[in-house]
Amino acid sequence: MSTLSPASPVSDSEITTASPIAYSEPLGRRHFWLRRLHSLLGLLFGGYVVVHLLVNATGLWPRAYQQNVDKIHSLQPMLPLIEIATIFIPLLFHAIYGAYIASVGLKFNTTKYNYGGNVRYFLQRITAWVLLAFIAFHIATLHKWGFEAIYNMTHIDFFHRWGGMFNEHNQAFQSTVHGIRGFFNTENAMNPGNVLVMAFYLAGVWSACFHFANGLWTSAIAWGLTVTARSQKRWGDACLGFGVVVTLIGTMAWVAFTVAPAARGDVSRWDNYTRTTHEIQVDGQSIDVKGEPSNESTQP
Amino acid sequence: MTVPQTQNQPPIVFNIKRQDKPDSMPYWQTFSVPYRPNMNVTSVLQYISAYPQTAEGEKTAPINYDVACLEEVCGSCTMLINGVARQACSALIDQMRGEKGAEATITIEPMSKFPVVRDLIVDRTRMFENLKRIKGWIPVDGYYNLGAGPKIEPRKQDSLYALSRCMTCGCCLEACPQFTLENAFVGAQIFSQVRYFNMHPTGKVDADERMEVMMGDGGITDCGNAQNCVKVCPKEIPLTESIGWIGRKATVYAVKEFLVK
Repeated sequence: MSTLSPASPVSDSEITTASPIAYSEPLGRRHFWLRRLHSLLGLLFGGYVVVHLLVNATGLWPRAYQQNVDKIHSLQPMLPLIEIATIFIPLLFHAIYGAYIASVGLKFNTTKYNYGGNVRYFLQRITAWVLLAFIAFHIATLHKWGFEAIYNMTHIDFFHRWGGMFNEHNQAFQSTVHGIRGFFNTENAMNPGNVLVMAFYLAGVWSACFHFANGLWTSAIAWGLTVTARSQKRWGDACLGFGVVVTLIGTMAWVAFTVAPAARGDVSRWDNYTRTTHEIQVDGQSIDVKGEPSNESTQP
Repeated sequence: MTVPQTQNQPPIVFNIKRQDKPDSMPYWQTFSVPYRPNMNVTSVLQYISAYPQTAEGEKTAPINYDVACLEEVCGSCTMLINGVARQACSALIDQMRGEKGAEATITIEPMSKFPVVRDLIVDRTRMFENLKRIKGWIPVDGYYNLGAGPKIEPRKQDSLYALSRCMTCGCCLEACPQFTLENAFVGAQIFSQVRYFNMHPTGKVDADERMEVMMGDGGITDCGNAQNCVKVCPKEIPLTESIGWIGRKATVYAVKEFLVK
C-alpha cells in the first residue's frame, strides 16, 4: 500500500501529454484488400481441408483409400499445379499474413469478458498457432516437398529419415500409418513419441475443424452476408452443425491411421491387398498401369 | 414505507487504482465507506472526496474522477468497476452487493484502453478524433435557409434512433480485444456512427468519404468479431449489426471500385 503525499496539481501541459494516436496508413487501401484476400483464401483452403479429411476418412477402408489416392494422383502431371494454386498459395498467404495480424495489436480479455463470442475469438487465434505448427510438421514429414525436398538438395540424412514419409504408390495406407501411428517407432506404437505425434494430429485435426467452422461464421459478418443479430445467430447455428459434422469426419480420418483395427500391428500385411497398380516397363521406362490386386492377395 | 436499516450494514470496502500523473506509476488504495441505501459508485467517490482518508486512516488526496449527467446519458463517468467497463452513476452498490455478497470488496480502476490523465480520469480524445475523421455530422450549414430536411419513414427512424443513443462512453472499445492503446483500430463506436450518418438521407452525401476511412488502416477489416462490444454497450446499440452493415457496404464499395471507378 503506497501512500500519497499532499495532492500535486497537474498542469494543462501535463494533461495533454496523453498523446493522440498517430494515423499513419502504411498500407492504406491495400490493407482492406489484403484482409479480404486473407478471408477468401482461408475459405478456399478450408474447403480443401474438408475434402482432404473426407478422403482420409476412407482410410478406415485401406483399399478404398488407396483407390481414392490413385484418383487424386491420376491428375498428374497437373497435380503440382493444382496443389500450388489451391493448397500452397492460399495456405502460405493465410498463414503468413494471419500470423502477422494476430501478433500486432491484440489483447485477449476472456477472463474479464467470458462471453461465447469472445471465447471463440480467443480459440480462433489459439487454433491458428496450433495449426501453423501442425501443418508445418505435417507437410515437412509426409509431403515430398517437405524435409524430403531439403534432403534432395542437401543430402543430409536427417531430412531423409524424417521427411517424405507418405508414399502414394500402393503404399498410401501403410505409409500414412507409419508417418502417424509409427512416427518414431514402427514396432511399438505406444512408444511415448508416437503417442505425442498421434495426440498432435488429433489436436491439429480438431483445431482445423473449429478454425474453419468459426471462420465461416465470422467471414459472413466480415463480407456483410449476415447483418442482423438474428441472421448471425442463425448462420452461427448452421456453422456449429457444419463444424460438428466436419469434426466427426476428421476424427474418423484420425482413427483410420492411429487406433483403427487396420492400423494396428504390422501394416505391411496390407501390401498385397491395397495394391492397385502394376509397374511395367515400356521402352526401358517405368510407368504405372491401373490393375486389379494380384490373385494371391487376400484380406488380412 | 419502511426506512432501510443502515446501522447493521457493514461498511463497503473499495480498492481503487490511482495514478498521480499521466506518466507516473499507478498504485492501489483501499477505502472504507459506510453503507447507505441506494448508493452508486459516484456517490461513493463523492463520499471519499468529502472524507479523503484510506481504510488505514491515512490522509490522502481526493480521488479525481469525471462525472456530469448522473443518469447514464453522457458517458463521462465510465470506468472499470469490478474489472468491467460501465458508468459509475448507474453502478448501484445494492445490486453489486446482491451479486457478490455484502462483504465483497469492490474494485474501481480507470479504463485501460485510454491514456490515464489522473486517477480515474482518462483521455478519450481518440474517440472524438475518429468522429472527426468520419465526419460524424450532418452537413446542413449554408448561407441561406435550406428548408425542411427530407422525410424519414418511421421504421428507419427507429433504426436511426437506436444508433443515435451512442454517448461516446467507450465501453465497447474497452471490452474489445482488437482495440489497444498502441494500434489504430477505430472500433464499434465508429462503425455504428458511420452507419448512423450514412443511413441518414442528408448525412449520406458524405458516405463515400466515411467509407474511405472504413477501408483504411484500423477500419472495418480489423474487427475480429469477438462481439464483446454489443454485450457491454450500456445503451444497447446493435453494434454487431452495424459491423455487418459496414462489412456489406465495404464489399459493395470495393467491387464498384474494382470494376467501375
